[in-house]
Amino acid sequence: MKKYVLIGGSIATEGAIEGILSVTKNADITVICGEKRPLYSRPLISYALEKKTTDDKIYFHGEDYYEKKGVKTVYAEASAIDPVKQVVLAEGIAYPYDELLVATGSKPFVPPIKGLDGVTKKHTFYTMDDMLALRADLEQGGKVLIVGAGLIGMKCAEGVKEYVDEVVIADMAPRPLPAATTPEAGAIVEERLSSIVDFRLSAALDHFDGNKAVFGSGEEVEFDVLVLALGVRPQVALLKEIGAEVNRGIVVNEKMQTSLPHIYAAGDVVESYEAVGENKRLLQLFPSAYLGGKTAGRNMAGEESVFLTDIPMNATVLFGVRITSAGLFVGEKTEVTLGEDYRALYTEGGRINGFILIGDSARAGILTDFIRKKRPIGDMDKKELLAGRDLSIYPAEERKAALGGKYEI
Amino acid sequence: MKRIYVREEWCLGCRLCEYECAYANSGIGNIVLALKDKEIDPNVKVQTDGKITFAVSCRHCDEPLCISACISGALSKDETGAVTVDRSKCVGCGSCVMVCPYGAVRITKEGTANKCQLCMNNTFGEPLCVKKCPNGAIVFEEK
Repeated sequence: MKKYVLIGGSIATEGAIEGILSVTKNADITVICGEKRPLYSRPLISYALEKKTTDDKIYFHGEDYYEKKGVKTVYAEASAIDPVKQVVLAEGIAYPYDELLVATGSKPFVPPIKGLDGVTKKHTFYTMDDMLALRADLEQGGKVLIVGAGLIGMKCAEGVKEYVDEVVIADMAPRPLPAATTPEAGAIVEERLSSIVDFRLSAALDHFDGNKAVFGSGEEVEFDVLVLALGVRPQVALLKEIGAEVNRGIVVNEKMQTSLPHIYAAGDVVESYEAVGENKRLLQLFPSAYLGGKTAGRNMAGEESVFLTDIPMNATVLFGVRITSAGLFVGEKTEVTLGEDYRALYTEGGRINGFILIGDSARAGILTDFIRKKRPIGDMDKKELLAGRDLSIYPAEERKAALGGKYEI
Repeated sequence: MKRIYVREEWCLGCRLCEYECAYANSGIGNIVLALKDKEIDPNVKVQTDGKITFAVSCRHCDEPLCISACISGALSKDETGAVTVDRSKCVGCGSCVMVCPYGAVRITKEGTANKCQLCMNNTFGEPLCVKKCPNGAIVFEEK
């Protein structure tokens, strides 16, 4: 029986298990999980903190699910991949493989900051253990400073507000969600949320003086609990050490193969081929991790499978404000404001590059499909596309075939 | 698997499917009590391209993008191949809405995702939109 070893504890590994088992039931699968818990959905930690879901609902499946499928789980850190095709754990135990998946994800990036050692309650926010440690501190109340107003920092803030009243969010950027929004959309988010959280924007952190942050401008913020949400970095060490091709993330082809034989990679750790800008970059998105993992799994089990069209996308709700986006915010901009809702479409050469919607996102997936498939928009009215997209915007023959069951869009 | 298919050339645009769907999923045993004076939010929606009308509901795709994007595990495929939603798990992020190329998943006013589940989750056990379509424009069959 072919031996599969999968390193990683979240959705890419889950996708790979599904991929392998969709090809063969005759598989010896071992999952090596550095986190001491079954495979779970990392984006759910903010929802668990916020009590929008419960701690037990973060797992993809119940514990017996994997056993029933014959999947073994080892709760330990992988320390090396050796040349005789085995994964070695810190304690020296080795797991030989025929095919290996590296889905080691990311680690929060913590730059050296003067005085950080002197901060008593400090956290990052990436794993379930991070969330539990933060929650324990929050239950004692106090004032919270979050450094980093990206998606992780902002979702964390939403959870934090369940426990404390005073939350300061600081970022070097001039607006919240600098990477996931446009200046216009970011300004709307800032305006809607500024009565809930205390933003300190265009604020470069200089150092800590005990439980006090000092910014470049000289401004000082005192806090009881600190969260650093300054982005994440792919955990590429295992593969880098054995000479795999690595840029900012692990380099893989469309089958999710690394440059080394019988070794695949998927999830936050890889560079994706981004189909709008047509370049390789870190996307680090949940659907990409799942689909990449599934593609890897199928190829590992011997069925040819490719993962071609990956694009940036995000859907979230922050303090009741729904933000949905896909693609790139480049090209000609068309904006529509409908009551409380703001929508912008970015087009170029008769195609949609991207969109961002604040508020109602109904049927947004149709626009996403246009981006992903590079569908021509012809003479369609761009404001109409933002206002009332439905199946009528697809070519009539294609729509008829899709509804009639002869084809999937 | 058996799926709902639309024969759009037969659709009258009467929207009876929308009302039957809302009734089927209301949990109320009488169509008048279920729908009278209520705004409906059905899992099937009649759309038009200006020339022809067609009823749109979940296609229960072989490779559903909604499931690939679902961060909460609320969306999954059951043993028959139908894409189902466990609304108690849904956190309402709208990732499914962001990726469904049919626009067939939505976030309801309760803040969680909902979609066609082929009436397998209600007392009817067969799609009521199909059963009640007066012109045979919606069918439930294996293809």
